[in-house]
Amino acid sequence: MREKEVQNSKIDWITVIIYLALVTIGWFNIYAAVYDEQNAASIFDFSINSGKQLVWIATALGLIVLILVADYRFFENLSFILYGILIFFLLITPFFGKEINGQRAWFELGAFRLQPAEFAKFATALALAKLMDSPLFDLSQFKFQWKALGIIALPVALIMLQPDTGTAMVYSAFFIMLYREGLPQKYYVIGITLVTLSLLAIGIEENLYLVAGICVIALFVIFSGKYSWKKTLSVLGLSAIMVAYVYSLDYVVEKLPDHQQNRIMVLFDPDIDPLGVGWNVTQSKIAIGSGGLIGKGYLEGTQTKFDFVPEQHTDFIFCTLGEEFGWFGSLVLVALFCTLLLRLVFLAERQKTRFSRIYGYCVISLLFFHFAINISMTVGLFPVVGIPLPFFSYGGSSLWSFTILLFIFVKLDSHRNQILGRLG
Amino acid sequence: MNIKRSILLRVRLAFLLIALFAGGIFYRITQVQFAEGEKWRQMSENIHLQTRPVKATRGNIYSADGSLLATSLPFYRVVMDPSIARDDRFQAGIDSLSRKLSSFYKDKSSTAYERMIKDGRATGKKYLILNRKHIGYQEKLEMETWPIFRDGRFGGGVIFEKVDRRYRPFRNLAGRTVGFLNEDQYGVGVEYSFNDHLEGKNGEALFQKIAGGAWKPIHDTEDIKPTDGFDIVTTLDVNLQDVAESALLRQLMNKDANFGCVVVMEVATGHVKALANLEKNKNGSGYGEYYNYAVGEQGLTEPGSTFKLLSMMALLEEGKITLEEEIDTGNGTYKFYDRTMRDVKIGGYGKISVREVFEKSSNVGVSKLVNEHFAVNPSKFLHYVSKAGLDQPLGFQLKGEAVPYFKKAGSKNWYGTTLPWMSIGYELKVTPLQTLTLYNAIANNGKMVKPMLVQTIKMGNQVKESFSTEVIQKQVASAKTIAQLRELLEGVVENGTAKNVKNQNYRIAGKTGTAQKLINGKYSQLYYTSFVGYFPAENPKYSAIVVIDSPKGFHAYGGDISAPVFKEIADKIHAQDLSLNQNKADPKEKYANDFPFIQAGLTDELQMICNQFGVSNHYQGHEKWVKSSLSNKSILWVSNETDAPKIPDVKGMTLKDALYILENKGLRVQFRGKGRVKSQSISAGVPIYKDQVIKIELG
Repeated sequence: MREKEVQNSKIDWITVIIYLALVTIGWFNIYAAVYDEQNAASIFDFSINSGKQLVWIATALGLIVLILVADYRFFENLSFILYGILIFFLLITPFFGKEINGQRAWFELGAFRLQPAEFAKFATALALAKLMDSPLFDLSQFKFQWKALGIIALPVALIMLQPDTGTAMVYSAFFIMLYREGLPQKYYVIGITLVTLSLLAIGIEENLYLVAGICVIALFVIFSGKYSWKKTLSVLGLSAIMVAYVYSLDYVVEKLPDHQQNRIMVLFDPDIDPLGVGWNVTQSKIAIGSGGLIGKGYLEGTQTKFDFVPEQHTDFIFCTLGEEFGWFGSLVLVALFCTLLLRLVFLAERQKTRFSRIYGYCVISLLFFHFAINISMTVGLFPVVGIPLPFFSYGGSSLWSFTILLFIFVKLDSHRNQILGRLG
Repeated sequence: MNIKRSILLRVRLAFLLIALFAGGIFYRITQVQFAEGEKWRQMSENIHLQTRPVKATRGNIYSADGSLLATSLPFYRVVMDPSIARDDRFQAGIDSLSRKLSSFYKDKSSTAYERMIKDGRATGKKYLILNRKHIGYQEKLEMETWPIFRDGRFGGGVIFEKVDRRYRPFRNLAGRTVGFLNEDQYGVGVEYSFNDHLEGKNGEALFQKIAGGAWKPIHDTEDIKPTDGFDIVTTLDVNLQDVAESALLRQLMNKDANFGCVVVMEVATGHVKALANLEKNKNGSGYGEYYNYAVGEQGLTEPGSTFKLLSMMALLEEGKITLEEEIDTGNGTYKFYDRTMRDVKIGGYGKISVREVFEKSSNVGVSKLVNEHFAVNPSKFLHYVSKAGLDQPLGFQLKGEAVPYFKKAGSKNWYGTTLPWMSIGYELKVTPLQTLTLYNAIANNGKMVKPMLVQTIKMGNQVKESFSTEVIQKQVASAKTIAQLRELLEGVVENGTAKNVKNQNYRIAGKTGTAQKLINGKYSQLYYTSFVGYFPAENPKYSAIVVIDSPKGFHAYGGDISAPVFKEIADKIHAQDLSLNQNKADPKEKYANDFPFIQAGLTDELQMICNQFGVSNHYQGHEKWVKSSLSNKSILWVSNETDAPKIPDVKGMTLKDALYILENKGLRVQFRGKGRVKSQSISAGVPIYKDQVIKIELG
């Protein structure tokens, strides 16, 4: 029995290797982003970001060891307690946090700054997994839906207080997991319709065109197939709601803070103000665009040397890679992330408890969301929101939280057979 | 649909979603990099290729006698295009070039330089900044003889990029008047006020941005050539400026005063010959130029007794009094409403003539007279203030001139006591330069001229603009009044409060001023002392004002503090100005600019010796040990640092000082000869080790 246990606790090395590759490439890129040819500091220089990141990486590796030697039941048993602690921290951040750029999102501990909102991600994932672990939990029922939504909504509300819209938005990623776990499709249909409608409403200047479109589709639905009063009424009702939504949206957009409004508008017309609001994205596109097939070579980038692209070592780190390693470099990065995500889907599906599977999907959802939004943002597919590229961006809090997030799952996965044994 | 199939479908959907998104992103990246690539590359080039300004050479600032007060000197930044040199030349020279660079800049080892240049060559760099430090022209000449560099820009790839830096040959002399201008366009003095003329017009050239944020010029025939700035010729006389500054400094140090200023003006033209402002350094030791108190807002103050000249002028112009008329100043106190006017002399002056009232500077006398004649119609008194141009700024050529403050008759803050106090120079504010302008007008027989600092703006020998003396008021008072006022001012030196500046060679006329300083709304025991006047009294050539703020010690009156400085300056000017003493050349004066044989030693002692012998000397720092260097016609002490654990430079010191310093460092000293140290066996700057023996030779 003992032998079998050891044999069974196999770590998934593919995940670990991809993780290490991403962290290492990220580290080299952070150095490239701060590199100044005329005043070249070593990559190990602690006064520059690459040196600091090295410290974060080293400590993250320490965290991995801690997670891997801990008892695998620990995470399941402590889910709600961890969640409670993080909620407590989120609760006090708006009051005791350090104010940076108008946000109170950081705690200062000596020379280090930690962002509780980052750590709340994995705590929420654990709590959701624990909540939905019960075989009786059924997402097709309304009362269970509310419970799951509550767990997600609480941290979101607290993060909005800081206010940090980007991080709060990340929590919508959990809907990917909920979909896998059987949340009825109608919600997604409604959601996708609303998003599409919003995009169209903002994108198309004249609302009348949109209204006309809705009417045409409504007529088509009414008169195609079997005609019935009931269908006609519901279609007409829905259409009325949609039209009302389109008109109310203009009002909502106007109520948004200027910078958020602008970020949305830039998506539809990047040339609206290429040196003002569109500056980040334009610069980022210039960096990526000038990279070409194989890029300018490591440390040879001119666009990404800290004066053109702002936030370059954090949210816009991808464009350093795009400029210096070109299309091939980007291909490698996207491929690495895809492999990691697909591998994680595979791992999640082979879990034998609901808890680990749900947690696995939470990991996938979060990573996917960050990856997709961050890169979309740098290539101008999505409005600029301040969320980091996992394992890649400069910053201790995000590296730590993603490492913990991922390796709890790696740990759970390595014990999947024992968990079955326990249940059996 | 059964649960199992539904789940399977959903998982597949999740897979698909990830793949789709990744594909979408990837499509977009490909699009940005290839389909739109050209556009972005073009944009990148546009950003990296910029027309940038090429700095015009800034004009110089000269003194009236043609000495350079401020100029732009070329400095260079050494840049290299390592790809240019021919292989054989490169290989032959790189070793020794790196060694020379390393020993020149002393910041990196020669291997580091070699690696940097070789790496640059290997990677095809076109623009490698070897060091950001600027080098001087002489150093550039030297570098041009180094291997590889000696093949020039197109053979060896060396580029000397010119950077202009502002340089003041006389250092801090008239520092605040010459002024400065920083990169944010903030500045003071001539540099700031005449910036439009000095700065010239920048040219344009095409630059390319290179990694690391530097800009590399691309040679292009379409460059717009910069137009150099104009030169400014001031009215300052470096000799007078030097005399004024050192006399002021000495007295400030003696009296531990807060600040002081001196303005010397040529009577007929209003040319400012010297304008010195010194203020105690923030750390409390030594003095430096930080603010133009003579002209600016912070120099605006209640002048005290020097203003009595105007009161006298008003009284005499009205024809209400004669100089010999007697007035009772009583026991030295007089009550106006609830305020008591006091005289300096305890017990008062009793019954004295108007002439004596002015000579002794009796507050009671002046205020009683003015109150008696003008209380009914104070605007009349103010009319004389305006006639003398005191209530308006002068329109001086420097920016930042203060606006004088006078109360309006009948206004809310005009009390019954205002007029009497105004008559003795309180409850009003003027700048030293304004007071001087009034006295200058008296010296100039009533013609009030505007002080001027800049006389011409020129380019080479071509004069672009020339300023001539402006007359503010043709006649501030009748000829008779002027004559009487001059008599009064001469009397102050002959018999009155400034008797101590009376001398045999020539006559000074002037007035002392001692104003109590208003601190937090209360008059304190700190004084603002001044002396303003002109000389020679019978045919005035120069006028000057000396202000010393908050002197410490027992004698804190204008006559004791400021007047001696005035005299010292006047003495030197009188001695140097040939037109003033053509027939009585004093043989002693021939040696006025020869310096005693002093080279190095203890700061305090050297300064004391020089001051005793009346040798002009300056010191800005506060080190204990200094050595001398000549600056213009005076001595400038420069720091002779002996604190570091290195062999100090004792050359030029007496044996006493040299032994003291060397033995304190733990060195064993062997000496030979007499006199001052001629040579030392271990040169200065070498690290010391214990029980080292140093031989010094005196001679």
